[in-house]
Amino acid sequence: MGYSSKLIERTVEEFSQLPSIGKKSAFRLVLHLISQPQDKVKEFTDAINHMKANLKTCAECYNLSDEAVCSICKNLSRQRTTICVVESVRDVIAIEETDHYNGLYHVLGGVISPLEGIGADDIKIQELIDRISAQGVTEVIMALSPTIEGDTTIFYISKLLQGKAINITTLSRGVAFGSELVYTDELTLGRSILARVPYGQNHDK
Amino acid sequence: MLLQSIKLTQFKNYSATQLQFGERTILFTGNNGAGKTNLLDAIYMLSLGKSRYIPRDSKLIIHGEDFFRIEGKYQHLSATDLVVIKYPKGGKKEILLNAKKRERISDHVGAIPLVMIGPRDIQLFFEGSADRRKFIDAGICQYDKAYLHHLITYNRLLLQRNSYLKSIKSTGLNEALLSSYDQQLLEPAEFIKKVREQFIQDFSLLFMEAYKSISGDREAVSCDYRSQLLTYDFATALIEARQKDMILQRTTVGIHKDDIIFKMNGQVLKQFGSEGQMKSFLISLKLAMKEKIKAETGKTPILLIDDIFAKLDADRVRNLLTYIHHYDDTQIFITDTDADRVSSILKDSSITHEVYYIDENSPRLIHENNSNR
Repeated sequence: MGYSSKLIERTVEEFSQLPSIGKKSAFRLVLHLISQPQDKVKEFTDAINHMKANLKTCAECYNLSDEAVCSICKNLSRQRTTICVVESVRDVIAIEETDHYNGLYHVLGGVISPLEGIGADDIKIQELIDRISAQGVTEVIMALSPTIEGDTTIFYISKLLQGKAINITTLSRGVAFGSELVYTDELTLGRSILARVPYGQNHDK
Repeated sequence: MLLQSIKLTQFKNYSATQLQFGERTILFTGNNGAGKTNLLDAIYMLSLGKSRYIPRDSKLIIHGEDFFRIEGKYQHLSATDLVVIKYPKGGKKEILLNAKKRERISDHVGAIPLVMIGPRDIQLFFEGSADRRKFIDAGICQYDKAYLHHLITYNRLLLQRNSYLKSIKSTGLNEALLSSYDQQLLEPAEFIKKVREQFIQDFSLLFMEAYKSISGDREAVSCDYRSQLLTYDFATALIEARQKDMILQRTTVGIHKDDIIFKMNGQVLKQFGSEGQMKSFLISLKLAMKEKIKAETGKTPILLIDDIFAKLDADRVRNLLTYIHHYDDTQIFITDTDADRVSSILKDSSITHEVYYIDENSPRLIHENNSNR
């Protein structure tokens, strides 16, 4: 695009490196910033710089945090004997949004995939095992994506926990609420039939 | 299934072509390079979502253009189905069945069952076991979605396991992780083995019957399923092979080592069969596959025969064509460079058919109705 200014061009270039932002969207955002007063723009860039400089990873669960230990881990009203194992920070937010979970989390930072060079030691598995032993955890919920790599990770972790008195559970997989049976793929429907539950068990209490 | 019409836009050498089919036996003739096989490839794509010959979709677009589109109108019982495949250069290929977009290409496989016989298929008897596994997998996947799913899972696990075996050298063995892969492999492997075993059992009978009809019962033929899993417990075999797997850095046991042994008069076919015998053998395998798919889906697969009649004696060609025509309601599309060879056999056997002559310069289709009614 033929910008009249090198300053604009450079800023557009930076913006367009953000995920799902193309050149046109980037230019629109830049134009918006140009129309703002200087101190407003400063607030914006300060917020970004401040966040980047001060953000920490929680020493307990590896969630993103302002302090050494995150607000979830510090919250004493949460059940400390249950840990929900997730792949990324986004999953924590998704589960928190449901308002149906009151235990702690553990963010692995990925799943085991040798094809992509991710081995068991490259994600926070050992940290999870240590935490479980140290904190007297009784239930581990495996909330990983239902993929082959997610399954490998669950298999592996449960092997490491073998012999310990810990209840390992996984998210149930099946027909989505609000969907129609005829549009559910055969695989999911087949699994849901095989893993059917007594009536009343999967209803909100 | 009957293909009633096909419409090609910027596909291979066809810039804009539309064809109507009124018969069950359709012959495409014309010189080499005129585009006969491209027509079959388009029909193939409408069923299986990809080209039989060219893996990269961008190479299917006519030179200098930026998309291709294939449309096929099918009839099954009293219903009609419209299949459209679109591919914009640099974009994503889309398949639509009755204007509804398929989420994945694999979702479409099996909707319009199809079996193709081409000259390269003779490799089935010579190449490694991968081609033979592919042959049965391609058939089963047209009617068994669970099989397809387990096959995808198994192959992905195998890739991960092999990749892990390679990394052991630098990271050291993690027993728990390797056995996690082993355990994960068990379920899909067992499922695939069972389906393949049952499949070969049913398939063998259909195959022997087809061979008898085409060759006039001259030779005794059979096909047997071989799998390490038939004699060994897979879980034990994986543990026993572990040292070997770690040295070779790949998985040496499993259903990816399965094979099918083709025999004629009790002996392995590739060692002594004549070219004519092999072609009859091949055709019978494909016809048996067609029967199996029909039995499973209730739909008669479309049959594509690409240039395989050379070096096949007229008797066998006649047996084949009359067998297919009178046996059931299969629609066959045939290409042959020798227009007279097939055409005269069809006329002699009073099989109603259509001949399309494909012109070399412009792929113009000259319709010639040869029904001998």
